Amino acid sequence: MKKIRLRTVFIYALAVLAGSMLLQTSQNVQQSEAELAAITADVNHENDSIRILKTEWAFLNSPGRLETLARQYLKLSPPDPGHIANDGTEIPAKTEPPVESPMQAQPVSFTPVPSAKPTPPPIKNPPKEKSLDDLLKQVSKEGSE
Amino acid sequence: MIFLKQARRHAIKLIGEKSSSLDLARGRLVLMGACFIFAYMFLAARAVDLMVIQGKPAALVDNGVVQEEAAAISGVTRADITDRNGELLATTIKTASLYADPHLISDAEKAAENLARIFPDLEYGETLRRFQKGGRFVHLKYSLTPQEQHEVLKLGEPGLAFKYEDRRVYPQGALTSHFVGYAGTGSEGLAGIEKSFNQLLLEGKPVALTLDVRLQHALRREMDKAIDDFHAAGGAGIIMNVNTGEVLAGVSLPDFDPNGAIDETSRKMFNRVSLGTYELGSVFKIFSTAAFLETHNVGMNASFDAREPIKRGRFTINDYHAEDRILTIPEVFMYSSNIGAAMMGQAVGTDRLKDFYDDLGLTEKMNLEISEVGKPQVPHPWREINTLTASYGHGIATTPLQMTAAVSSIVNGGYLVAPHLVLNKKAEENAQDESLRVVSAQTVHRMRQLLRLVVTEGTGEKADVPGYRVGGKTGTAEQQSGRGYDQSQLLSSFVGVFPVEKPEYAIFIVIDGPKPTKKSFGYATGGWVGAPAVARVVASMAAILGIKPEKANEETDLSASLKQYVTVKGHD
Repeated sequence: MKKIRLRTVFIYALAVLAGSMLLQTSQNVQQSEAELAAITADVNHENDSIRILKTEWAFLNSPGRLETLARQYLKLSPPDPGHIANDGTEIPAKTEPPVESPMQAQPVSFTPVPSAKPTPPPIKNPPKEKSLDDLLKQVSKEGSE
Repeated sequence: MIFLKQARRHAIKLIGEKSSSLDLARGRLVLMGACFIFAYMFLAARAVDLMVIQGKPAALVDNGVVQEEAAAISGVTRADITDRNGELLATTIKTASLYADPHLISDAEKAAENLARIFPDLEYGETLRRFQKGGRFVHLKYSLTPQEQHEVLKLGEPGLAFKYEDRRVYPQGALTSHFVGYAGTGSEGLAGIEKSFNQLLLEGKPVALTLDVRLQHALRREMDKAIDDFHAAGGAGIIMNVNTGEVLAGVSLPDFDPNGAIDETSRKMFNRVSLGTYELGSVFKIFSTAAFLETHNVGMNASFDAREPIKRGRFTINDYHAEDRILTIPEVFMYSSNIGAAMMGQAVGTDRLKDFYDDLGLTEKMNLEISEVGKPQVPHPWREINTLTASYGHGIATTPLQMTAAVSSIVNGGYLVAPHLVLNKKAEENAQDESLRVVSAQTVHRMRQLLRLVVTEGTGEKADVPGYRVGGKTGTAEQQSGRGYDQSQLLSSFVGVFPVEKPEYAIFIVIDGPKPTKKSFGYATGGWVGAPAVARVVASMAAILGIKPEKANEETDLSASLKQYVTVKGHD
């Protein structure tokens, strides 16, 4: 009798262990599946967003819209054939004769302004102030000669 | 249990063989009991698992998130249609539709008020009435924008939910409407490429077309201007790669926006490029002249007497730009003399001219990737008078697209090209196969010269774009009205090719019903309507495709050697 009981307990324990392991495994699988589904949904959602953004990009870049905006905001116009040069010879020569004009010929240089006030040049032999008497004398002298 | 106790009591007494058989029976009973216990334990565990661990609140089952997951798993989305550079022409996006479950709405009045604020067209009173009526499903709005959806989510109302549906969107709007076509709500292609490639698109395989949206836009813009300027009813335009037959742009005006409501009976739906057939007039002189040069070994100085109209029964063939003198081949072509062209046709002969038109694919329905293709109207039976009129493009009606392909086949070096819309890298390798030759190299060269002459000296002077050496031919046809032709209902066209020494592109524009204006000095002919439009398209194309201009030089110009055969009148 004792023998049988021991064996029964052992079997029960084994069964419970097996059952709990099975439950554990199935829980793991379910959890992983849920994660996978969530990630797949995320990916799909991202893909949908990308599609919407691409559509918006295509719409915003449609040539008609760009043309309207360019007209409105840019000061550029489509090039016409006259704007395009095929080779170097069509470009006007760079070295043209310099224009003789004082405005253009001015070299750009700065000389520092002297700090001291320029002194007036000394006047040599300053003329003596002639008095009226001297003048009269001179006149009378000339007149007498 | 009584049984077990009895068995135990008896067990003490029993010995020998009988005792072992009783043990056996008891063991079996224990085993069976254990089996049942395990079975019930398993069921109990499973019940806990299903209800407690995996269970979701009932309210969440109808939630949009669950729906979205389900929708994402099911099926492939309808694939994109792109142009040759990968620009989206048609795509599918997932849009949310809003619905409500009145059972779950916590505060119907507040919900209705908020909805009226987000969507001005959902009236407060009406929405509230529908919420209070009960039921489990109230549809509120189709195709919300992401912003609107965000606003609704911000309300946090548990009774509002979204249903996700695929919606076909055409980002370029009306620009490519006739070729891309449109799909119905059931994801079923109903016109254009959407229809003919329906199966492939449903399998998720994208389709790239030969169209280039930039050229398409330039062509449409210039045609629109021509139609506006001349108060015309509509028009058709094509830009074709003459070497491969790729349709780089195809515009039929008026057109429609495939994103909006589609009225299938509207004349806007009509594809004038590939479905409409028209008597295109003088542009056909390219074919009759090529046939004449191919069959007659004559110099360009061969002449035709254009002084008298040709009379055949009730028909009289007159010249529109009357010169009233004897004309050489270049003169017939550049002044677009019907009499001269009819004489060339007569010289070629009915059978040979008809065969030549057959070879160019002008008399049979062309093969194209869409189902909107018109069958040319060819005279039946084909009499001599039909040969004369067909030489200048009357009495034979073709689609503008096959006419452009025929012109391409002549100017590209004489190799027949088939127009096509779906990008196919292999097609380019097959081009220029000698077995596809329709005219000789000499005729090709002469035709290029003649086409250039029309632009430098003749009726197509307004098609000239300095630097790009355009060649072409004008066409002005009177449209049939009743049994005769109506002189005020014109079909003015111009077919241009450039660069003319070795053409790469053919541009054809035909404008339906242009009215003369003061600016055009009372003219509404191909030279005044079609030619300037083609010139503007060429200038735009050059900028878009980065084609370098070359300096104009009158002496080396292709048409220079023909000028000796031309007497220019009115220059003195």
